[in-house]
Parts: sequence; structure tokens; C-alpha cells
Amino acid sequence: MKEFMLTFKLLLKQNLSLGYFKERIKFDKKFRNMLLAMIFVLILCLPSYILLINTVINIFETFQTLYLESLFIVMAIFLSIFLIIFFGMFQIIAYFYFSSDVKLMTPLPINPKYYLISKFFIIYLWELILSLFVILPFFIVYGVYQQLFIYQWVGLAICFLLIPVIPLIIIGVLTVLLMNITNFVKNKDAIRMIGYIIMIGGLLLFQMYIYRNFLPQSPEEQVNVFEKLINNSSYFLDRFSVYYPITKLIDYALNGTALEAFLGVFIFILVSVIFLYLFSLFLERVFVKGYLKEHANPAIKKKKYQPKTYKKRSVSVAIARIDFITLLKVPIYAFNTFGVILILPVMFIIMSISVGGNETTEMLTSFYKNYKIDLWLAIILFLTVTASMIPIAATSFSREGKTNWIMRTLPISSKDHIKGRLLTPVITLLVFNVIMITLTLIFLSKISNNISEDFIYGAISLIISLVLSLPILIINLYVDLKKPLLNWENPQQAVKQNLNVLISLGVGFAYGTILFLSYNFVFKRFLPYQAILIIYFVSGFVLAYYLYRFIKKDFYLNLIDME
Amino acid sequence: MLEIKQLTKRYGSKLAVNNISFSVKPGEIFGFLGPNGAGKTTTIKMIVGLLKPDLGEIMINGINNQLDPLRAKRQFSFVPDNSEIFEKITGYDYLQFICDVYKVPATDREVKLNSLLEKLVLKNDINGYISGYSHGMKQKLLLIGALIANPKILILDEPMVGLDPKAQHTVKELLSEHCLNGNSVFFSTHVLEVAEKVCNRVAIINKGEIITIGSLDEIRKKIGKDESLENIFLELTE
Repeated sequence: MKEFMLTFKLLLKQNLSLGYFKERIKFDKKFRNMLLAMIFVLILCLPSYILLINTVINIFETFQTLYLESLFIVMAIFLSIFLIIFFGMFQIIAYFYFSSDVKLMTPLPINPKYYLISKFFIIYLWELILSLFVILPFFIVYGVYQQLFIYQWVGLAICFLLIPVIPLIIIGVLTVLLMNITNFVKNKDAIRMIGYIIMIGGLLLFQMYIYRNFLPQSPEEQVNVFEKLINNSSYFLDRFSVYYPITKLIDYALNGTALEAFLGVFIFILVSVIFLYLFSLFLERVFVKGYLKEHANPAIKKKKYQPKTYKKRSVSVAIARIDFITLLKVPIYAFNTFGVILILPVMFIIMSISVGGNETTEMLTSFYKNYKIDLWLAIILFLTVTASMIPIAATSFSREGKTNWIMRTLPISSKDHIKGRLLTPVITLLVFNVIMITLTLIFLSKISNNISEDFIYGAISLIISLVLSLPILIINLYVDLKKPLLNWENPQQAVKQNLNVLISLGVGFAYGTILFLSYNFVFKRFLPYQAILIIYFVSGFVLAYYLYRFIKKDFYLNLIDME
Repeated sequence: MLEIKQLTKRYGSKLAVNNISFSVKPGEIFGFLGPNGAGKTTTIKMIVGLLKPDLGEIMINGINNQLDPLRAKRQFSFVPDNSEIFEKITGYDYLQFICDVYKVPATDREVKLNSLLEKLVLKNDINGYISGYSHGMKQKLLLIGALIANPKILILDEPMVGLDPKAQHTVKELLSEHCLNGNSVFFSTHVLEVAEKVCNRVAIINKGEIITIGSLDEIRKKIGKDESLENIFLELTE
């Protein structure tokens, strides 16, 4: 325990040190500016957050009238598990496999399970911070509206703290197993990337399957459930506990008598501690073994010498090539940057498969016939805004981290820097747009009677959305040039904990809003479709050109001033 | 080849480099010595464009690195002291990239690279990922990348750290060869023995100021003692 506390305190200081934070506020002007920018972004997000809380309240009030309070808590647990599946795996990879402190701790005379469990707790704290904003409102709304007793409030607080533990451990076990299994496989980075996507996709699909099975489908079933709900307010918690038994304990803690609540919380704590203990043993035996094998002998990564021809490339292509290889080879970068272009099409496919029946098809056919132009412009808007969700340009300099000296000292012109750094996101977007438009055309073939015309719409949308995305990419690149996050310990920080990514999202949504407003309130009323497309194409192009000239102007000054 | 005039850099209230001036002549190997925190790396960072000087001028082969940074960068290659390098690419990819940036003719690449790779015994590892390289191998790779560009001036921050004795010997030879064609080498080091053997001239910096500059004989004359560089260094930096 002493060893655990020792390492936990150290890691806590390293990751969440208030003293270091205060010192940076005092002495580091760039950090102060970044903090101000972050506060500004948070203030901008505040209305959306208030809206989210209002939505949570509205959902609860609607559920209450239908005796569905228990479903509300199930939703909160579901959402919590979803967040852990989505974010937890990358936190595990970043903190366990890409963090330098494992290398520093391993030679120390400390049982590895203590510092590994300490690392787990740091990840848990990050997950908890996320839950504070997203999940806690559900619990508070439930507690206030259900007028819980004090002991139930205590139970609710403990349950909130414990909910992420077990799912995070499960994700941890799966991640470590995947990393160990793929340790000696050829092209292990690519295999791991596919593995993560399959694992996350599989877990999310499993969640969807449970949720669909769990809600009543037919009208008879609905009546049946409604009757049960009148007699048992915890009906949904009971049903969900078949899949996730911990739910029953949460049910006791929130809705039981004082004794039931005490027992529920006590057993929940006990189960969590047992899981943690078993996880620490697992880490000690499985993780350490795999980690040491992977890092002990660099020779395993060597490839046999084969003479190669040294081809000549343009500087911008050479920059883009290095960027692409790095993005593909670092799983955290790969998932965060290419994840969106893989997940969105998968979601689209799932949604389009679930649409069925003659009635729905007829309705969609009529809708498409009447709103064809609006729909294609919505697609252009969606594809354009997606440029802000792919954080390649927004982290172009940040991802270089401590190797930033290479690009900064080489004789690379501003033009080549910008072209090379934009080439990767542009190609990525091109691939994404082609996939999405192809899927859209396949879907439309079910409801449209003029597929050749749709194909032309698709091709035009592809070009316009790409041109309209360019200004977003250049702004994102400029933001990262001005304030890159270079001093990171693991690559997760360069992408996930980078304010520039958040700013990029803000820029994308603001840009999207302007495009939407200009279309809906101005262009749509006065101009034909063709003219609107030409305006968007030209304005996107001109804006991109002037932004390019702007960023090029002081590029070198910013490059020197980066640190 | 390299001319530093009244260079000054301040970090908050701390004066890291205080009004230093010196020059490196063509064909010369110039050693930049000093204890930890003396201002060596800060000076080098300003020369290679990683830091902006508060005052002063840096001319590289007659080009001001503040006014025309791109042309200035074409005159030098730089190897830092930390061996931080892209980890997820192969050594081959890295050298390809450097050749592309310095526009090394395709016909020269194979011959020059093979010769450098053989001399520094890195040929068999060149197709492996850099993440699998030892510190010394990374250092060798960076040195090959710097030499392949055949720059007018090589700027090296602690180039011998992490190299085995054989590689150190090869590097010394390569640096001397590089200077035969009128090119120069500017490097910082803690290894005074290397500086003593290799450098035509040295400058010793302490607390941000140059305390002595010249060839070893000139320095000995200045202080009036026939001492080794190590003893001179210890005496001047105390």
C-alpha cells in the first residue's frame, strides 16, 4: 500500500500538479494565453452545456410521466460505459505503452503492480473528470426529482464514483491482451489499428444490441412493460442487471431502504476492490511480460538489409509522406485522425440498413424528390464541417513534439511547409468524402429514380466540399503554428489534450453555421442552385488563397518563436 | 563562414547569452566549450533558427539568418544533443527525407549514403524502424543526415555523446574530411580531449560570456601557462 501511495502521489504530481500549474501561470506567458483561450472556449461552450442539462431535465420529466425513471438511470450507466469504451482504450494505450514513466519505474525496486495500478488510477481520474460534466447531471437530476433521502444521496455519490471502475478494467484487460497478442505479428501497427476498431465497433454494437433487445418492440410488449412499470419502478434496472449485474447494486443504493442501500453500496465497493486486485495481478503478470518483450530487444524490429533505390521527391510530398507514415504507425494518432473517417461510414451503413419497409421507402422517395437540392447542400455542409473533426492540420506541429527541431532547422520554404502539411488532411478528406458520397449514392439507389443525375450531384458535392474545407484546414494549421503543444509525454496528449483540436472544432462549427445561414436565409431565396454552388466554390477558393498568403507571410517568424 | 556579432539572449531576468561575438573561418573546425548552463545550447539554437536573439546578428556564409532564414538554412546542417528523431519511420525513410529536403541529386544519394552507412556501421540497420535504434545509432543516423547534405557549415551539439570509441574516431575523420573542401564545422562538446585533438580553434563560454577564444597555443600564450585544455578549462570556468 505504501508503494502504491508513493507512486500514485508521484504520478498525480506529474499529471495533475497544482503547484506546477500555478508556477506556469506565474512565469509562462504562452501558458497564460493558452489558459485564457481555453476559458474563452469554455465560456463559448457554456450555452450548449446549459442546453444539455435542460435536455436531461426534459428527458427525466417525460420519463417520469411514463413511470420510466429507472430507464433514466440505465441511460446514465449506458452513457458512462459508452464513454469509457470510446475514450478509455486510448488512455490505457497512451499511459501504459507510450508513456516514458513505465521505463523509468521498471528498474526501481517497486513491485510493478503498484505503479501500474497507480497509472490506472490516473486514467480513472481523467475518466471521472469527463463523467463529472456528462454523467453527473443525470444523477443529480434523478436525485433532486426523486427527492432522495440523505443516505440515498451518499449511495448515489459513491455509485457515481465507482461506475467507471469495472468497465475501465474490462477495457484495460482487452487492450493489454490485444497488445500482447499482436506483439510479434508482422505489420503489428496496422493489425492493432484494425483490432482497436473491431473491438470498439464490436463493443458498441453489443451495447446497441442489448439496448434494442431491452426496450419493448411490439405494441403488445409495450403494454405489458407499462403494466410492469406501474407495479415496479425499478423494472428497467432489474432488466438491465441481467446484462450488467452491477446495475442491481446501483438500484439498491438509489431506491432501496437504508439497509438495502448500505448493502448495495458495500457490495459495489467490494466487487470493485476485487476487480482492482485481480487487475493488478493481471498487469503484473501479463502486461509487464508483454511490455518487456516489446522493449527489451530492439533487434526484433530490425529488417534485413536490402539495397534500396533512393528516389527523388518534391519537398512537400516528402513532408506529407513522413506525416502519413507517422499517423499510420502511431495507433493513437491513427485512431483519432482516421477514426472519424472509418466510424462515420460504419454508422451510416448501420443506419441505412435499419431503414426498411415499403412505407418508409415511399416516404423517403417523396422527401428526396421534394428536397433534393437541400439534401445535397446539407451533404456538402456536413462534409465541410467534418474537416474540423479530423485533427490532422490542427495538430500538425504538436504531433512532432520534441522532434520539432528537425522541421524547424531544415531549409524548407514556407510554401513547402504549408503544402506538405496540408496534403495529408486533404488526401484524408478526399478519401472520406469519396466513401461517404459513394455510400450516399448506394443508399439513394433504393429511393431515387434518376441515379445518373445523383451521380453528377455527388461529384459536384465532392469537389465543392473539398474546396470549402480548405479554409478550415489552413486556419487549423495556423492555430497550431502559433501555439503548438510540443512538450508532451505521450502522443495521446498531442491530440486528445490539445486545445487546438477544440479550437478547430469551434472554427468548423462556426464556419458551418455561416454557410448554413447564408444558404437558408439568403442564397436559397434569390439564387438558383447552380449559382449557389459557384459562389461556394469561388468563395472557398478565394478565402483559402488569402488565408494561405496570410499564414505564409510570418511563417518563419512563428517557426522560430515556437518554443 | 559563421559570424556572430554582439549576440544577446535573455530568459526573463536571466541573461543566458551576453553580447558575444566570434567567427568561424572556412576550412576550420571550431570547438565551443563551456560548463553546463553556460549558454552553449542557447547560442546554437539561435544560430540554427530555433530561438530568436534579443540583440545581435548571425551571418551564415554571408547570409543573415534573421532576414533570410531559408537561404541561411541551406548553408548548414544541424545535429542536436538530444537525438530526438522521428521514431516511427525507418532510417532509410529519414535519410530519403533529408536528401529530398536538401535536394541531393538522385545519382549521388546511393553512392554517398552507402559510403557513410558503411563507415559508421549502420548499413544493416538502415531498414529498421528508428524506435528500435540505440542512442548511438540515432546519433550516427543524424550525423549521416547532416553529412549527406554536404553543407558549408556543420553545426553539432555534443556530437560524440553515445558513440562508441570506433564511431568517435570515424566521426573525427569525417569532420576533418568535411573541412578539406573549405567547409567548416562548429561544435559544442564536454569532451575536452576531442576538442584538443580535432579543433583548430576553440571558444570557452561561461555564464553567457566568451571568456577566451583562439587556437590552443594562442590560449596558452594568453594565460601564460603550458597546460592541457582540461586544466585551462577548469581554471577559466571556476
